[in-house]
Amino acid sequence: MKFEILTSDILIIGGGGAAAMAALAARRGGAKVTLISKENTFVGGATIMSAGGTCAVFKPDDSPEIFYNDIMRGGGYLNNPRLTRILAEKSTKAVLKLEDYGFILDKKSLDPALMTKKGEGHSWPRGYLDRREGLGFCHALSKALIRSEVAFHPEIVACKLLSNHGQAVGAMGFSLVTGEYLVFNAKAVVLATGGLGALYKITTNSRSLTGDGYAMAWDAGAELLDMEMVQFLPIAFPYPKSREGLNIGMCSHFGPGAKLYNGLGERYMEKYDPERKEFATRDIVSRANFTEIKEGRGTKNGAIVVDPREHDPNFLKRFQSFHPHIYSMFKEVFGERAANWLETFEAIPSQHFFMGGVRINEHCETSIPGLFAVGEVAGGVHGANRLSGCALTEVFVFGDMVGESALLWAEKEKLVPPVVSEVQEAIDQLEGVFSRHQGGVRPLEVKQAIENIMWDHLGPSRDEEGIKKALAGLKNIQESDLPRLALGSHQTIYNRERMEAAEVSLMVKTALLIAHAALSRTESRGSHYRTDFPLPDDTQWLRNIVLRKGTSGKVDISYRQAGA
Amino acid sequence: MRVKLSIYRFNPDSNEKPGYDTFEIDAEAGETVLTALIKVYETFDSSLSFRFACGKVKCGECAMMVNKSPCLACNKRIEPEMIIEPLPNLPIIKDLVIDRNKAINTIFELAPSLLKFTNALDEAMALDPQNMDTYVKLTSCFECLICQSVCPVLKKKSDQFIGPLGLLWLEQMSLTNTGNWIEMSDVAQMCTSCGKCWKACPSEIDFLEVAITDLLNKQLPGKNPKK
Repeated sequence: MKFEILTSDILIIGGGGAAAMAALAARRGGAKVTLISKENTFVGGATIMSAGGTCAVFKPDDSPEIFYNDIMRGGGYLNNPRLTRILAEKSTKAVLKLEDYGFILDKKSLDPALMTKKGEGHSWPRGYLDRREGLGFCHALSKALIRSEVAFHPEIVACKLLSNHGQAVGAMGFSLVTGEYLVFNAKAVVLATGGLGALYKITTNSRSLTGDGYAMAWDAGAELLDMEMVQFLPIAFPYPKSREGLNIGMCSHFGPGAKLYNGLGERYMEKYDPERKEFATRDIVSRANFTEIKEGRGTKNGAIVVDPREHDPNFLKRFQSFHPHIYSMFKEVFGERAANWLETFEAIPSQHFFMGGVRINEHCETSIPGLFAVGEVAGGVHGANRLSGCALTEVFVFGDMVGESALLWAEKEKLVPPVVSEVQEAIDQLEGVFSRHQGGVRPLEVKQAIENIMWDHLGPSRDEEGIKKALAGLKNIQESDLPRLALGSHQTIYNRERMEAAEVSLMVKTALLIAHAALSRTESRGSHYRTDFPLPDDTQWLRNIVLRKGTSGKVDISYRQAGA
Repeated sequence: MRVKLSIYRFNPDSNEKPGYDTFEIDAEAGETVLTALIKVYETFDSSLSFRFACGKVKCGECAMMVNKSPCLACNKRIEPEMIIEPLPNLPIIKDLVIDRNKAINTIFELAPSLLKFTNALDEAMALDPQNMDTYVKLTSCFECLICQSVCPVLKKKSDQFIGPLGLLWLEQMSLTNTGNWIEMSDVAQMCTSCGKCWKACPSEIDFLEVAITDLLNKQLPGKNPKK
């Protein structure tokens, strides 16, 4: 099979905010930058889905130190403190710096005096909100990418990172549009592929967020950490199918009078967090909602009930103004009265974010020379649980930094070509799948099987038995389904099934890593809750679980003292 | 509810001319055109090409024609009988998938000044605080290309006119005093203010109010500001 090789100084893989920031920062230093994305828009991913909230230090009595302490506490002290400190210290400057790229901040929200809402786990109100939600950043950064002549390749499905003598030299994949195989050869490779929401049946993420980067980094031999730390949000739309999983917001959105009830009319949050009740952090409320529903105390629609009637009218005004998308979805799904918080409504928890990922140092370098990671695909910044509004902050702070790190690397390194046999082997493997059309399992079926296993056994509440079931189920998929993947369509141009086939092969690997890490952590911390080990165990478990590919593909597990 | 979908099909690899395939599916009343298309793809024909990303009215990638009206498939409720087609007047890749990047690049080719910043990159751009609300509306665009697809001027003069989306971008530069937008504001004269774009806009951007009127006024004697 033929393939084309495209070269540049820096290759960035990913289609969201982190990838765009990285590309822009690298271009500022004059490097030749190529950006490949599975999506079509220049900047999409989770960034375009976000409600636009970005936390930074704005209030006069707040400080980077207080912010840092909040993130560390929120993360159950599993965070890499050096990364967390960078986030806290650079947050404000990074938000304001966006204007340099042509993104005009929504000044209506930037006035610290108008910031009144304190997110769960934050000591001060910190959220910069934007009436355009995530859309504003995305399209402004898109223009900046075009203006700064970043070579943008949309709808490229990256399948494998390439290395030569242990050094990252690029990636191979194929064009969804033309079906051609492509090799992107570069001096430095930045992984910015985002999270893994699509591993779960119910998620706030786009379906394109299949966690490709985790599995590609794993295949390449990189270290991954905190793979058990999957974040859920407690309050998302339960129906209809087209809106299922879309985030509504935390109880703090509604004001101090918001309450949660189960199907029996019990105000259950007292059981899970007697002190903070509905205003506990997202990990606790998600687990509570998940447990109430799972144990049969949900409504007849399998949901819990949110009562926003005792809301703060100013919060409602802010909600209407700064969350226009959710407000309109509210009206569509629950009607005018519920949208204006005059009625109760039903909600379910939804997968939202992944704290774990590729292990990086404070220069965003991974354990593989020449390979960098940034954004949700990188682990360590948020520890065991991310506080609200800190994902975009991470994108803006580290996106800028990784661009500069990759630039420094590319300036001192020569372009090393990929190993042709490795590329050929990867292409042959894909071709094998793409040309099989009968008697096998369709990628879609595999996807659904993974989604169900993950939701049932690796959701907000876990135990040994369930995790072992998940491991067995996932191994079965890997060993008996993946080798006989078959596609319904023979076509070359824009064949979505080819993309799905490539995705599921990676999804299973990522899912297995989550299961291994979740089984290993025999305690509860942050987003990882084990019913068989319900308490945190600081004497044993202030440690990060680090996974690495061992001999013959085995999962090697090691433990690192957190904070070291 | 039984739903009949007639879907535009065209594969440049094997078809000389486009045609329509018809599918019948069972769907719940609240479903969207996008979930119906996914159902067709999953159960009947996985060679159906269509584009979507978020599925929840955020990204603008699933814009298409349903019963001859442009919409975001994820935001359009199903009807018992639907003719589903790609956005018109834009290059087609296959079936319902249009070449978005080609369409966007064309705007920059026709108006290279859109690419140029006149002020230093490190300087925050000057936006009159009074214009903040207008600017927010201008930049709340999905870039779904529906406006471009329905514009009658663009249809006739695709080699000259930057279209409604291009005008939105131009006005963004005008409000922030960046780029050589003044040189280009005469392209706004090509707009006939027919209203098709803002009636079809899923983000409900009033093109006339937030962009076109201002751009046209810049052309009036004495109104053209000197930089």
